[in-house]
Amino acid sequence: MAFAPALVPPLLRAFTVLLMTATLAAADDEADFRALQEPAAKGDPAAQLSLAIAYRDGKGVEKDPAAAMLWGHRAADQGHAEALDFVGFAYLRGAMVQRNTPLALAYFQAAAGESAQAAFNLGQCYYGAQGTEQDCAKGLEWWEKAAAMGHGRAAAAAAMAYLSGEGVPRDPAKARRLAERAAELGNASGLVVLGEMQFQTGDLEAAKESWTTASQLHPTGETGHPAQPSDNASAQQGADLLKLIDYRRRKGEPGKFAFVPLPHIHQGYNNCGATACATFARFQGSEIGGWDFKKLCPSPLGTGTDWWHLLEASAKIGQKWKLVTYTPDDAGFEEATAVLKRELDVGRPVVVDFKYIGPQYAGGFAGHTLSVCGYLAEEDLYILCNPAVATPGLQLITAADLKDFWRSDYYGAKANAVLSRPAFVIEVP
Amino acid sequence: MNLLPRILLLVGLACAGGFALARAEPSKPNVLLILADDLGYGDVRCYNNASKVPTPNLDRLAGEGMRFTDAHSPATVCTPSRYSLMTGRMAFRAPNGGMVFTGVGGPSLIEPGRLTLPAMLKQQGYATAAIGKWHVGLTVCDTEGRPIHNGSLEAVKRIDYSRRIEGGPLDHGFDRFFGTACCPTTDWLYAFIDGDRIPVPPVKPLDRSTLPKHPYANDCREGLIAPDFPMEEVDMVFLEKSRKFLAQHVRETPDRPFFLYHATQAVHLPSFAGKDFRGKSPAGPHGDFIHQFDWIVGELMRELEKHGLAENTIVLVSSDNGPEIAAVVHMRADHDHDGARPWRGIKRDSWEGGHRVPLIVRWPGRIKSGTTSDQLVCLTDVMATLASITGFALPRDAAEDSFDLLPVLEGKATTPVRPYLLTQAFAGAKTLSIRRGDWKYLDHRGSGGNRYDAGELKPFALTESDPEAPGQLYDLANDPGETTNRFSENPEIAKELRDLLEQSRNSGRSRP
Repeated sequence: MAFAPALVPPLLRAFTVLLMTATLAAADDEADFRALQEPAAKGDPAAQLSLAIAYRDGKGVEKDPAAAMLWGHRAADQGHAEALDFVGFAYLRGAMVQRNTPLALAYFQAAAGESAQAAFNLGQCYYGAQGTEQDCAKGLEWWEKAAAMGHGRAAAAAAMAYLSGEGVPRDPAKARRLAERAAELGNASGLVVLGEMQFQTGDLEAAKESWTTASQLHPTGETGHPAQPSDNASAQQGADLLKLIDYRRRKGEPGKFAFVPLPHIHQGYNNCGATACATFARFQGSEIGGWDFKKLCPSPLGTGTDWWHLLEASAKIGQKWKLVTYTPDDAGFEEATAVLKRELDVGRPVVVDFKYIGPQYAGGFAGHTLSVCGYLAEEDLYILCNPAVATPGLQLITAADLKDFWRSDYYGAKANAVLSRPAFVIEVP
Repeated sequence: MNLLPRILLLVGLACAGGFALARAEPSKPNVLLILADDLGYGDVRCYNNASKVPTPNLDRLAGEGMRFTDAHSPATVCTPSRYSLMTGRMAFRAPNGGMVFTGVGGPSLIEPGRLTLPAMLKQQGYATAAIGKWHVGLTVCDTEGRPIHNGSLEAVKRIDYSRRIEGGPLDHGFDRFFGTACCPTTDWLYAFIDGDRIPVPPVKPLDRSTLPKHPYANDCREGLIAPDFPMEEVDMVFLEKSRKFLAQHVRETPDRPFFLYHATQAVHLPSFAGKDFRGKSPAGPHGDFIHQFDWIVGELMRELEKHGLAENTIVLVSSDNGPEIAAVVHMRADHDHDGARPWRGIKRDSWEGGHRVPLIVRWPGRIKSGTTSDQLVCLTDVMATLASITGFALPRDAAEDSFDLLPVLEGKATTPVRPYLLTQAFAGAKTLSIRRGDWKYLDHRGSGGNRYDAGELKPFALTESDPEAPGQLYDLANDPGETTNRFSENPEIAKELRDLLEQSRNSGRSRP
């Protein structure tokens, strides 16, 4: 059947174009998949890896994790560095195979000399105690090697570690060099952190330029969505930071807007809770880092942290915090945000716990701890300080998204799986 | 139908057979001892029907000889295990007997003057040769003639290659040696020793960038490499040397029996399977390496047949200890293959997986084909067994932990040949265990070797069933997986075994 374009309404026409594009892309994927089969069967490791990726992503073929691993292994067994990284990452994530971090580590070790991505992942393992004892210095060494091999995210991660002194001695000069390297490699998070360094030294024009460049690297919107891919989140951060420049330099106006500067620490693997709490503690004068905060808790490094353990850890360093919860319904959100704004208006940030739901999360959901450090009432936006994103960690979130995400039922054993909106606030005598 | 080619072929075969029979057969049997490195019980198909690696040559050998199901390496790591194989004595009885050498580590664990397996056979008229990995320690010297006993990379840089190597195989009963000081492709010195010299010394640092990369290859450390040292074909060089030894023996000294000790690099990590073996097994690079070991066994057998030696040669194949961590952990996850199956523990551990090893013995005419023995035996027993076969009376100060297996081989043993078995784990004398019948006592807590509280072995840790007990007592008849420590339930048995271990330790021997 053919369409007569002039007679088709614009929306339908757009939909039709979209559908045709998708159909053509699917046909291309199928052709690509078919073309890989022969060289893969003949033992070409690059084709085998491409086939593994196609099976993993369902590109040109039905998703088939077992087939993805089979072809991934075939390529990896031949020493193909990116295939070794592919298999290692599957073990690290526990995607397609049972999570097994020591195995992941061994695959990354095998590939790290040739694959920048594997070198980055190996650094991640050492820095985040995945499959090995924690060794932050070694982690940074591998991130720097990865950066030298052209891995922008590794350069940015290393820059942030040196900037905040997380796991390594603080070294602003080295941090700057690595941020510049990340920016040079076109990494959005690197541009964000470089822009922040420029902003902090008063070089606003340079900061704007860095953030503008970051914002143009990936799609952005008015505000980002909490569950967007990390590159998009970094680009969105660039856009958000451009918007926040003036607010960050203005005094708050209670009821209208507030911004409480927090000393951001970029979190290590699975260490959001302790890192968010460390920034909260640093805000109150402590020098503690995310890893050291985690070490005050009984759970092992690289694993999630119970909120009651975080509270006990805060007391150990002389902090006075209070865990408050609000109901997950609309009324609870109204009450929670009223308290939130009251805290922010008097210059106190609040730590909150988010719940992400979706098939992309192992177990169907994931939790994430971060801080709320400001709001813009006119636009119904809140400002987050998120340990998972690039320094300064600032992101804008709509009230609707905050309402949707600021809910958690597994933030601690004592929560008894009851859904609520938990928060740490500074206890005022 | 044209019968001519077939008749010609038959004539040819008859000639070949006639040639072999015409040669004077030595009265004593030849001995080919093939020792794999870190080959697990579960790596071999005839020991583990779930093995993912085909081992047709080992399976065939078992079909032609005797397969031992309760054979043990004396120790759970290379150096002490090989010492015990060479001397018939537990290594913990020797000074530094728990040591594992690296690089050019030494001096030799074998004390000067101690009777060894090759020296005994040499006295019995055998031509003796060792090809492959030595790893019992030796002494190299620096330019001023000072001994270097430090197994480090720095030590390798100080070697004076013009000087004789002391305390190596030639000083312990072997007429010939070609091989390496320690693990050929693992650490520091990547060069061959020929006799008592390193004829082609290392000249440059090892370039690891060109070597295979996979998780089974991570165990290759930096070092100095000789220009003739092929990192990925070391076992092929060893095979060629053993072939040449056999050919030369047949040519030059056919009236003498020979003892060939062929100790492979396979399947010690890094798993550098030769180029002809890569991708040939369905179980990844380590599977390829196991497959290569099996092929080497087949090639050595073919070589014996080619020279008409197969009928009068005792062939023994075994392993120095259980399989290595990375090999087991990765192959379980990557390929659903378990080199330690069905046992608990792996290399270094006191549990069965650390020391229960494959042992296949073929001796046509004396060992019934396709037989299986569940006798409790140890690699230390090779010495007393060959003493018995060759008519050598072992002196009291030799082979103190060696028992004669000849009655077992001939199917005449009706009772256990060993009163008990000793094994030593990674920490040597501090981690001994003793087995008598089905009871096994470990004179220590935990594995005796690997850490199971963290890292890659953590998922395989079992909850300690008797955590307060100072040792472990297992009933292997009812609990072959060593899951339940019966120490507190059976204090008398534990005490009896502990006393027996003490008595054996103090007396310096287990052979009466």
